[in-house]
Amino acid sequence: MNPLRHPLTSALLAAALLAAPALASDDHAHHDEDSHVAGTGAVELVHAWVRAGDDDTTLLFVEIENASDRNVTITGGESDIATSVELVGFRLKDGETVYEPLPQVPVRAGTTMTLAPNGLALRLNGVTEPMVEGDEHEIEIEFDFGHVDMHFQVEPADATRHSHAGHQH
Amino acid sequence: MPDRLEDAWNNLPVLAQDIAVLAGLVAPLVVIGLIIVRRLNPTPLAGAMLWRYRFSNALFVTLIAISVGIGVGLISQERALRTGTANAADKFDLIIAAPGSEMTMMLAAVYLQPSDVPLLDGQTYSEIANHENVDLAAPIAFGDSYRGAPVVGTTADFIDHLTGGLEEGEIFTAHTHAVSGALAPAQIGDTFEPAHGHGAAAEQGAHAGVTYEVVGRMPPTGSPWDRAILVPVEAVWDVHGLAIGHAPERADQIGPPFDAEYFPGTPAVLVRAEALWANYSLRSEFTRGDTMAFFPGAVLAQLHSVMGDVRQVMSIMAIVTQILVAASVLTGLVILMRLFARRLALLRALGAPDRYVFAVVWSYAGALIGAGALLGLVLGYGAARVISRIITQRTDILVQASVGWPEIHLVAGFVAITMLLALAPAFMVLSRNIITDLRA
Repeated sequence: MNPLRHPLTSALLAAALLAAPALASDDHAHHDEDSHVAGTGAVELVHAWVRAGDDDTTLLFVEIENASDRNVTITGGESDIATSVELVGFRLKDGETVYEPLPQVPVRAGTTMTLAPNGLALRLNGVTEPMVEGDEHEIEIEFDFGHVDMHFQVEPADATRHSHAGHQH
Repeated sequence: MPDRLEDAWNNLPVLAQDIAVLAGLVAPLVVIGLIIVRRLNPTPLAGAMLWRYRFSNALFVTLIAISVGIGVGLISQERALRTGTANAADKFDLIIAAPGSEMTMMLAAVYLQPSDVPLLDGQTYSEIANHENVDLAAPIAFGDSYRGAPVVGTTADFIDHLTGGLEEGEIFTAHTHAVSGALAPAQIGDTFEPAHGHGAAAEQGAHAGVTYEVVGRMPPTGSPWDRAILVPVEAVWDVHGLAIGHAPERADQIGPPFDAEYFPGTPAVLVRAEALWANYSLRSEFTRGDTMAFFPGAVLAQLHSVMGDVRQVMSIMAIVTQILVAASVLTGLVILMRLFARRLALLRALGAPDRYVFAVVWSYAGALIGAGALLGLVLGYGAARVISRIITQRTDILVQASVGWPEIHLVAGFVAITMLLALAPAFMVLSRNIITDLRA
């Protein structure tokens, strides 16, 4: 079991790791009413989405806004509908698109990191059910300070962004 | 497909998957063939049939070859284009430029297609170059040319990154030095005066009095940079009457660090970070109001996805063509069998077993189809090579056609299906009335 999944462990880790009060005050996710936003307050995750399909793997994209005064690091994730979730980066290799696993990626203080097609993504491996357009599922996105639980939306198979991208939440 | 089987298949190496597909296509044919010719030797008679109507047979083989060749050529050419354009951009990890069109900037910075673009200022360049995650930040300044070859201002580090070292000569160490690409129209020791602009709009004499001497030559890179001539970026600024990137007391310095106050601007900066993750972080960081950061590979992938749609259409067209040709082959074989009807009837009247006659007809059809398919593979590959050479000459992007597994699978699939269809005329021969055919 991932120790970060346990709320107490997660909170202790966050308290130990974080000097910044903004993050240490709340490492647990909160969701807004429409489930498009989640985060700690200082680190917010917006518009998580995947493409519809029934493949064994799927890529998850999301915007990560780090409004805190320290760098945070995204390390991966977990989901009940996938056997594993890993951070991957796009590369064009001999003309073919490949996504290579990455150990972690920092999000600098005061910046936004966008996980988007042909860039960074979280890859859900061993997806146990088809991704049907319009459905929503849960994912736990892991950072160096703990994890953030949020919903992600299934967009059309040819989508290039979240259907609410550009909306202010 | 059951999950366990699917997992086992996915865990196979790609080569093993390709071989398995080929075996799957060919195996039924081999089994049927072995059953048909078992303990028989239809070769002499089938050979005689091929020779007797050699011109008709040659035409038949040619038609099959052209059809197969079109399919093979389309697939091979598309892959060659995709691979060639990707390889040409391989060294351009991340480009940072002023906000605008990523496509325009990629064409300008990676493929050296000149374009008027806004410049990044010295402060921004310094911010990029001094970033903790940046290992290489090379300005790329274009705008001049010599005999159609772009003259590009950059740094020695960029040349080293692009080529891994010069083929001959040495790197530039003065404003008047230049390094030529492998196909550039200037050799080591040559001197030249750059024109302002490119192509028909190039202004000869605009930089009168400015002379570069070629002191080094790059190895081939398979990209448009092979035709380029690279000079110190300071020289490009100097030639255009701008500040030269360094304070007056360091006016002779070539290469970084540059002084932000004396940095006149650059259309693009090539950025490289050793760590893969750092490139994503940098792209995110420099995608903002005053800068645009992008991976040329990602822009190419978008282009390729459009090409992929075209490829799908082409593939469908190729398959439809193959089906039509397979139907034509079937019709043609039926007609050919009518040509041989009397001889085959005589053979049967003399007591030849039906299985032998069947084997002769099927082997004859197999020879035509096999020869046509093989010739088509060669034709398609040859056509793709010729087209690739023309594209390379016109774009300087090294496009190399090859015969890959998709083409082999296409040909194997075509042969397998048409050989199965060829069973029909063989059966039809046996169903013909011997007496009627002998009287014909």
